[in-house]
Amino acid sequence: MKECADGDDHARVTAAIAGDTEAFEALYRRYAARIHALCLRMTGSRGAAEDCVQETFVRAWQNLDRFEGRSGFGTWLHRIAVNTVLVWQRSESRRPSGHLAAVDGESTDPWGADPHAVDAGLDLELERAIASLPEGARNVLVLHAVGGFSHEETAALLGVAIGTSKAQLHRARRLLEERLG
Amino acid sequence: MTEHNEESRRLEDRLSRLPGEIAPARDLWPQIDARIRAGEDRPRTPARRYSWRHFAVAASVALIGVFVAALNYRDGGQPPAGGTVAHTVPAASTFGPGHVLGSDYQAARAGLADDLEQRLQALPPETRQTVLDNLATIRHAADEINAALGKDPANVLLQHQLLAAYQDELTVLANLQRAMERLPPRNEI
Repeated sequence: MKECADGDDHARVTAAIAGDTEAFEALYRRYAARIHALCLRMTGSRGAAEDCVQETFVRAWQNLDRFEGRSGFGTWLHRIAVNTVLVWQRSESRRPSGHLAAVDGESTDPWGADPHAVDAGLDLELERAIASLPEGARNVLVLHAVGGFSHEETAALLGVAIGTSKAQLHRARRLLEERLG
Repeated sequence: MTEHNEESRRLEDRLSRLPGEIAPARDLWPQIDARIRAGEDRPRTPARRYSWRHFAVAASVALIGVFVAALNYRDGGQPPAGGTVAHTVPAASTFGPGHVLGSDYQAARAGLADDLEQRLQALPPETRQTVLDNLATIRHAADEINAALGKDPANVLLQHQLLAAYQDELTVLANLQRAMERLPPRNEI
């Protein structure tokens, strides 16, 4: 993943470790949209994506003293976000389908009634096709083809073999080509 | 082939143009801020603290699953003669106030547990103890997650995990009940 290098992150992380919530808020403001895009595409649910973003930043705060700075803060945050989404997906897979949407009062199409989406010039057809992919293929596609992670990074993030990551990406592309005609 | 390559290129192009940032529809910071201020001693994430319990629950479910499968195998996989399944697992569980389970769910759970209590008497003592120990592990995990929720009620993942633990328990109870109905009375063994 291409890290957005910024010395400010280091200073903010250091301040946040010392308990400075304003410094942490600055980190949130900087990364929230990126983490939200990842969570939204991986969960396919607006409500779940917001929950996962929230959880990601709370976990990051709780574990800031474990951030060793070997990777960039953004990469570290993405790792937490992916783990959070995977936990959500596992929990969700054990629940009756459609339960979350019913609880949240959300339609099953996360891109359905979002006026911002059109304003932002999103490729809604493609976003919907991605949301319709099987979970394993969607996760790899979102991380590798959209998020810019290498197969090695994607496999490590998802806890799968590199070969699995490649196979799932191939499957995702094939399905998207079919669905987009 | 060329056409396929062209399609692939077009898809790659569209994927590469997807925005890497999509702002949430609302500002999530106030809730995050409230949660991190509520835990200023920066506790370790509850998920890590009880992660071993998930393995224990998974192991228990698997063990009881093997036990049920063994009963079915011994019984030749035949449907129960004349037996009926008295209770079924509700399709979905709900939260009541303060994360107490909904009344339908509690009633189904209590019914299955009572029924199981009687049927367990038909099992050999060691088998009975194994089943009870494993159910206790699942229930303990649910209690622990519940306790963590008490400290962090807004934690949606904990809520999901609590539901999953209760659903595991109900599934196990229902499966055991079905398996027990296939067993002859103990005095016939």
